[in-house]
Amino acid sequence: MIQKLFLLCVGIATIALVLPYALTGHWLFALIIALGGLFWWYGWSHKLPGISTLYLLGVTAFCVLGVWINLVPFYFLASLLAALTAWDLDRFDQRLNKVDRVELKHVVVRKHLIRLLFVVVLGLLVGGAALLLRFNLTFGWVLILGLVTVLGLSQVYNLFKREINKQ
Amino acid sequence: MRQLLFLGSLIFGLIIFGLISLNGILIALALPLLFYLGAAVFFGPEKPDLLMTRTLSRDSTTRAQPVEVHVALTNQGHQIEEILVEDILPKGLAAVEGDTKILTSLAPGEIFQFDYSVQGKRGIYDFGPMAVTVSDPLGITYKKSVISAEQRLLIFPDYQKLRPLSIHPPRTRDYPGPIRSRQGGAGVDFYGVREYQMGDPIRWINWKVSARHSGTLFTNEFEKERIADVGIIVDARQQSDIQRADDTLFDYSVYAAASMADAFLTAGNRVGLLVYGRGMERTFPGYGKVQRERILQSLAYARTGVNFALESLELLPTRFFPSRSQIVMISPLNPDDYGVLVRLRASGYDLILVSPDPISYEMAKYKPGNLVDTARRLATIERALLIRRVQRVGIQVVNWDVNTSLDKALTTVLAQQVRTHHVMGVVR
Repeated sequence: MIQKLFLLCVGIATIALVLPYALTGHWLFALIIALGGLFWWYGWSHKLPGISTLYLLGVTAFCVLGVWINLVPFYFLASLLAALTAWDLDRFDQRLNKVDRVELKHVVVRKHLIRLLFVVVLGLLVGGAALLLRFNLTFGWVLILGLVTVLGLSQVYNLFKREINKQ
Repeated sequence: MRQLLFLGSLIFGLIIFGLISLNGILIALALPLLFYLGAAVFFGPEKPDLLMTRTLSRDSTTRAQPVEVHVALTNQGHQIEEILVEDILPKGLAAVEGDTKILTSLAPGEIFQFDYSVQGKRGIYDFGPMAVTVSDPLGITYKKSVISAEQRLLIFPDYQKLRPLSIHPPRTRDYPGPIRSRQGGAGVDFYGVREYQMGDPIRWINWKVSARHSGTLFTNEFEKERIADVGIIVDARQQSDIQRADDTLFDYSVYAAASMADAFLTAGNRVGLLVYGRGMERTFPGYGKVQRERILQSLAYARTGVNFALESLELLPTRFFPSRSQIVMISPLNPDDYGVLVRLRASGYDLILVSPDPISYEMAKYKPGNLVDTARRLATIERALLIRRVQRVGIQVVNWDVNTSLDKALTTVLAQQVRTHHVMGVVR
């Protein structure tokens, strides 16, 4: 079940990323992305460590490139969400496989899938709304967002520091 | 934590890139990732409030008999979406049935139970705390904690039921037993003839001898059968031990000590134990099943070790064993020990040396070849000469090839001893 969903997400992520490049005649990028998708599938079937993380990073990089060359952004949102879902499912599958036994496996899997679906659907709605919403990014907004980013970064840094000190 | 770092970096990368390039689409693309991460952090795990009990089906066992471990985990706190429970086994123990690393979810007040069986080699095993990892619903953030539940499992050494061992210490105790005491009295075996004394049973009168001496009656005497004091010394010096991949020569010494202690105690003797090497671990002499348990427990603890003060047997506390009693020394036998063995014998102890053969044991590690074969032959000759020197001072030596039965090795040597004593009896 998890593996089928995982493969479906990999397919969606790859196709959604290939399409905007292919439709606009960027064949080289489209080919690289398609090969990347195949490499992901190969790496996953051969249990290469960190393959999903690498592919999510690659998908994000091609999304940034696509936005940079003014391709349709909705494809990228779909691709990024599918890649994120595949990344999550892969890690979940690894967690299930590295233990001796999963007590009431079907319940644990079902609960996880429901939570993931909820987060992904909300992410899609929020991301879609943000893409549809048009407003000028003035200097004031940039300053505010920049401050929020710096604050967020410092919070994450503190969180890491606390966790490392605990360990 | 690595996932958190990765996602955080990805989100901040998108936002910063969007801000630098003044492109809102990149910030919009970061939002689903931010939402995912936010959900993971917001519903992040709290410190679990768990109560654990671990029960062993028995506190002590043997290597062949697995022990069942029952673990019950009660969630006294909030809902836990994903919890990884890992009972960390002490080194040397292995789970033979059931699982020790389980993933589950726990509702408030829920009791989660699991069982597994463990087996291991001789020793004392302390079960430590149980590792618990609680994660958020998406598995991004973790909280690890340990729940203490200390338990101790004792695995006794293996031992063989031996045939009755024939020993003849110079001094026996006053209670009836199976050992000929070298004293005349009530018994089975003929010991000698003495002049009749008031109270002697009439059927003990030796009429043939009495007929040769007019006016005097003679009575047959029988050899009293008594129990004896037996002291077992196990050589646990590091220098006497040889290690192979899965066992050590010392394990065989422990096996021999346990088997012989069992045989002596079954015969009703008083048995004490001294493990000499890393320290001097003593089990004071005693009788019966309780003493067998004490000795097996002491042998379960026994380990070789380096102690510079006890490198030679010079400090062997012979006073620990009653004078002129039977001493069984279990040692691979070092050439330096010869002097101490002679002194022990000279002090009046009857000494049996059970020596697990280190040469045949160590040879299993090497592939056959000319050089190895020559080395083996030289070592065997050297050992044979040493054993002969030891035998010459009246010490019974059981040269035990650990690949053969201990019972057979002991019977061969101790049967010879019986014959020797019979001959001595006739001469006397």
